[in-house]
Parts: sequence; C-alpha cells; structure tokens
Amino acid sequence: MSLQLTPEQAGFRDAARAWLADHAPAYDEPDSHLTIFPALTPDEERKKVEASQRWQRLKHDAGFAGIAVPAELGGRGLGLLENLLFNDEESAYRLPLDALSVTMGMVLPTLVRWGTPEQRDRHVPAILAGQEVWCQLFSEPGAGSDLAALSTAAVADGDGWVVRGQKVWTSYARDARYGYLLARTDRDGPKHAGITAFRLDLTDPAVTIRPLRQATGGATFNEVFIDGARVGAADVIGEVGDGWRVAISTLMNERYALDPKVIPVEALTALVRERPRPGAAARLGEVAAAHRVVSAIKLRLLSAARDGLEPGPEGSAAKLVATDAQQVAADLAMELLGPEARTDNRWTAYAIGVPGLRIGGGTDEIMKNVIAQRVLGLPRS
Amino acid sequence: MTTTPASAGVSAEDRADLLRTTRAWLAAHGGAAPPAFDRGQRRGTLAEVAALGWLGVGAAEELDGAGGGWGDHVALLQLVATRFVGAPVLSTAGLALPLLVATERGYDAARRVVAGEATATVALGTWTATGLRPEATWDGRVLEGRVLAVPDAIDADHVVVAARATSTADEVVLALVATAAEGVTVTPVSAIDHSAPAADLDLAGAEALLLGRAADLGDALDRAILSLAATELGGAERCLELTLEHVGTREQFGKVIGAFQAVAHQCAEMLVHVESARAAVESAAHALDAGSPDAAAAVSTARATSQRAYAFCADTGLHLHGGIGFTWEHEPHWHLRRSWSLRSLLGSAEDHYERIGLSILEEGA
Repeated sequence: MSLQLTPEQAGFRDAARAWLADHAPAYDEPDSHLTIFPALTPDEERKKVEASQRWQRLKHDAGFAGIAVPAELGGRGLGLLENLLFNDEESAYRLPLDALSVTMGMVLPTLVRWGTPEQRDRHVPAILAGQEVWCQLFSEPGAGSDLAALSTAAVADGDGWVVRGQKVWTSYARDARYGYLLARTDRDGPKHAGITAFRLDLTDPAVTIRPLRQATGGATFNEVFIDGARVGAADVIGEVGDGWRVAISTLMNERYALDPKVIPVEALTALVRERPRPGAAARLGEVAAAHRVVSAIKLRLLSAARDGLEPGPEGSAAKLVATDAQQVAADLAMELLGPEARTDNRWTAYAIGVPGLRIGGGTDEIMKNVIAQRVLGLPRS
Repeated sequence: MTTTPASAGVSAEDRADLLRTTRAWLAAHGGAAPPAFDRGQRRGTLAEVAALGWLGVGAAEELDGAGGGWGDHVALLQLVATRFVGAPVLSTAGLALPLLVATERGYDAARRVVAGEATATVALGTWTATGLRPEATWDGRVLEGRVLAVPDAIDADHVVVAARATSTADEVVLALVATAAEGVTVTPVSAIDHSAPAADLDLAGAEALLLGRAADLGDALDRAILSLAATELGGAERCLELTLEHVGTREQFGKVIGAFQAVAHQCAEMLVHVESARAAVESAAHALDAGSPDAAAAVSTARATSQRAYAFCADTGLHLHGGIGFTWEHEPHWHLRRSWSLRSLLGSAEDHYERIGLSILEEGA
C-alpha cells in the first residue's frame, strides 16, 4: 500500500531516496534498531553524538535538513508531509539519529513555532547544520507523568529570573549546549498556568550535570541541578506563563516520531534462522504483523498530513502496539538464546531495555488516559 | 485461473453512497440480536439487501456486480457486522462469492448469489499456515465425507467444499456442490452463533463442479479471509461503541463507571485493538486490489489483528457491562458467540501469525 502523491511530492521522495542510497550506508550502525538506552563509555557516547552531528551536517549540506522549516531559517521550506516522507525513507537505514532525536524532533519545531526572532535566527540554522545539541529539561523527581506538578522555580529578579531546582532523566544533557527548560514563574495560580518555557545556557556555572545510570547500565540519562542560574526576557520561549501550552505543542510532535523500525523484525528473523525452534515462526509472525500494523498506522498519519488534517485516534494507539510487539520480540529472543540469555549481549540488553519504552515518552497508563479522555471522551477519574 | 485483475474500486462517492444507504437500512432493520431462524424471512432479507447492492459490490460487472474492489466489499461487510441482519450476507457474499468469481465455472452460481436469488456458504475444513486440511474427498466426479457445523449451511443452496483429491496425493481441490443434489444431507445443529445457523453436511457420492486446485485459488481464499477480518473488525467496533454508551451512563459509587481508571483503561485497550484492526484491514484490502506480492502477509496480519480485536472487545465489553452484560436479553453475549464462532473459521490468529513468520523465514533463506 502506498500513498497517493502529487508529482512534486513523489519527485521529492524519489530525490530523497536516491540521495539516501548514496550516503546513508556509510553511516550504518548495525544495532541501532535494537539499542535502547545503550551502555556506553563517555568516549563512546561522545563519538555517537559526533556521528549524529556529522550525519545531520551532511543532510544539511544536501538540502535535506529542516524540510518543513522556512527557507529564511535555513530550512527547505516544504510541508509536514515532505518532512515525514523524508523521515520514512531515512528509517530504512540504521543511522545515528538517537543522540539528536530530542534536538531535531522536539526542540527544533518548538523554536520554529514559539521562538523569538533572535532565538530562531541564532539557533535554528545552527541546529539544522548539526552544530548545536539541545536537551529537554522537563521531568523532575516529583514531576514525571504529572509534568505540570514541576517545582523548579524561576524567581523574578531585576530584569530576569533566577532558577533553582532539579531535573532528571534528561537524555544527552552532557553533550548539550542548551536546555529547553520548563520552570514555574508563578506559584500562586493553578498549576498549569504558572509555567514558563526558557532557553537555558548549560555552560552557566550554576548548572551541574551528573550522569544517571539506567537499568540497562548505560548513562545517556542525567540529573541536572540548577542552583541560581540566571535567565532573561530574551530566553523566554513563547510567553511568560504560557509554558504549558508550549510544552504540549512540543509533546504533540511525538505523534510523528512513530517509526515501525523500532520493532526489530530483521534482527529477530536472523535469530530465528540461526536457532530454529518449534513455534518460533508464529511468534516471529506476530512481531512482523505488529510491524505491519504500525506501518499501516503511519501511512494513515502521512495521509492525514498530506490532506492537512490532524492525526486520528490511531496515532494514540501506535505507541502501545509498538511496545507490546517489542516485548514479544524480547520474550522470543530470550527463549531462543538458551544459556546466552544469562550473559550480556545485544538481545539481553534489549530485553532489559524494553520496559524503559513502556515508561518514556508517556507511560502505558498515561497513553491510556489520553485515549480514554481525548479520544473516547470518558470523564477524568 | 485465479489472477484477479487489479481494481481501483468504485468511486469514493459511490462507496460513500452505498455505506450511507446501508447505514440507513441497518438503523431501520438491523438488530441487537440475531432474529430467530425463519427460512422465508432470510430469503426475503437477502433479496432486499441484494437490491441495495450489498452482495455484488466487489463482483465484476459481467457478473452483474458493481465492479468495485475488494476494499469496497469489505468496507460494506465491516459496516454490516455492526448489527445482526438475519440473512447469510457474510457466508454468501463474503466467503463463497470470492471463490465463485475466481473461475468461470463458478460464474452461474455467482450471478445468482449477486442477485440475491441463491444462498451459498463454504465448508473448507481446517485452514493452516501451509494449506487447507479438508474433511472431504474428491474422486474427480463426486464428493465424499462429513463436514461438521458449516455456518449458514442450514438453508444454503450452494456449498464450496474443500476436498482431498484421491487421484493425486496431497492435492486439495475446491468443488461446488448444490445442497439439493443427490447424496447431500444437511442436518441442522444447535450453533453458539445464532447469526449463522449451522448444519452438518454429509456428502455421499455427491456430484459436484470442480472449481480448481486450492493452491491456484489462494488469492480468492485470501479475499474470503479478509471478509472474516472485516466482519470481526465491525463486530469489535460495535462492542466498543456499546461499551462506551454503558460506562458513560452507568453509575456506581456515585459516578459514571467510565471515570474509574480500571474501566477507562480497558476501554482504551479496546480502542487500540480496533484502530490496529482498522489500519490492517484497510492495508490488506489495498494490497489485494493492487495485486501486491505481499497481499497474503497483509491479509494474515488483518485477520490475526481483527480476530484478536473482536475476541478482546467482545470479552472485555461484556465484562464492563457487569451483570447486565451477562444476561441473555442484552447484546454483548451475541458478540462473544459470534467472535468464538468466527475464530474457528479459516485460521486462528496463531495460524495467521505462523503464515507470516514462515513467509519471512523463506524469503532469502
């Protein structure tokens, strides 16, 4: 099944496909679809980030960066559909995209939509050229699923604010130059109303970043302690007190981050071939079927984007379908491994990483709340 | 041969028209429970819906159909499955018709089916990932054997029977038998799914018309499988709709039960199943209509996903209705019954997953 496209749209996709065929294989990362919160040494992490930046730079120089970003900001000036078409073509390769996924998928669209002219002019071209890495300073020890309960405070001081608080589970913060920060500027109003989004310069000496080791053993996460960092009016993203709306628009981008490739059909097929076992074909088929379902859902998202429509209810379902399939894949792989299921290897790392997918980017329970309330119209509990 | 030409389907306007008139008919005549069996009424209803264009939407114009694609056909079946209509629409138009239109020998019966003049069903034995396991045999002229609990066989004029050819080892053929033929005995059984009154079919030297080798009719069988998937999807959609009405109005502990997370999350899971099945069925219909090489995997994905969706939504839907859902007079148990019954036809979800898995393992092996 394929999407009906205009000749211009199809031409763009074909050009992207051809360019990727020439350039993507050199950036191949064999395990990139199987790696969840990788266990890397600081040196390996640095190299991973640099590889992401080099790949971004290459796309930029070829005109495939910021496809939906206006041309005056260094983008291609096309639409959401073309952007999604490119991502779809790109996902056919195993590329070092992970380290920049927050910068490109969350921060970039936020700055384009809400940034001041200074913020846009300064950061958008640099991000597109792979020169700037950002992180997202949202979650806190006391504000995970209940993000609006965040307590990091930005207290007015002269012509700016002084920020104090702690952020946590922050991916790639050590490699980032800037943080996209949510802080409370008004403690008295309703909890959603007192939040402001800021740009935070992470070189401020009042910012301390410590690696936070994950269940996988990796430490792409960090704890970020902010103890008196100064931000000014120029750092506000959107309006003062409007941070919740800005943050929601950022999180909405996750609907488009859906990539069927996170379901590791190819790697699992190779494993089943190496270690055949009765009943394995059916379970491989179950994983492959989920991959097809998520691809079909993705196609519906693309058609909605082509027709200028908001994504339908199926977009909310896709993450749950994908994580279920990843769990089935992990279960089957571990059964096939035999004694190796007790040793550190890429599949055991995968099996330990999968539970993290049910938590990050909206826990299963939050996704179900979203579906129940926003799609099905059930009352809040 | 069975190669069905690629079809673009009827126009979007024609499809929308058909679905609109169908919705109106269902609102007036469809039920929350299958009506008690009445041969005359079933015939009358079938003729009525044939006149609305339900039966031939996916059949070629030379067979008096609308010349639509299978995507049009399954969109209709999906909608029809949201109510109980008291006519063998699924068996006749969804299961038997694709096999009849796949080969010229089936054309006469196909025309009568499209016109609503004849009823038909299928008795295909057990579907497995590697082929059909028939319950009848074929000696080149007559059928022998006993096929149990064939849905809608109680008043079917024609039955497409899968049989093992006694002349050629391991070759499975499909043959068309008239229930009025000598050597055919139809014995009604008490079926769990009252929407498809079943009968045992005894074949003792029954003359039949050879339609072809099952191996050559794979595309037509996949169309029948997608009809089941679309029916399961429509049933699952109805279960979700029914359940949302209930949990949005039923109050316990001073509030509507849909406000309890334990209830709301199960409704959300139903939605995930339904949307997955919808995407999979639509994708498989496109693959069949485009003659895509991966149509078989797309159809198995659709069937497994829809079957699981209906099973989950029928079961969870009944559960969330509480004691009300467990009473005969309410709708949920009819879906649970139909869901269980359909699961035994043309492959379980596991069987379909296995077909997908085997085809991946064969690629480039």
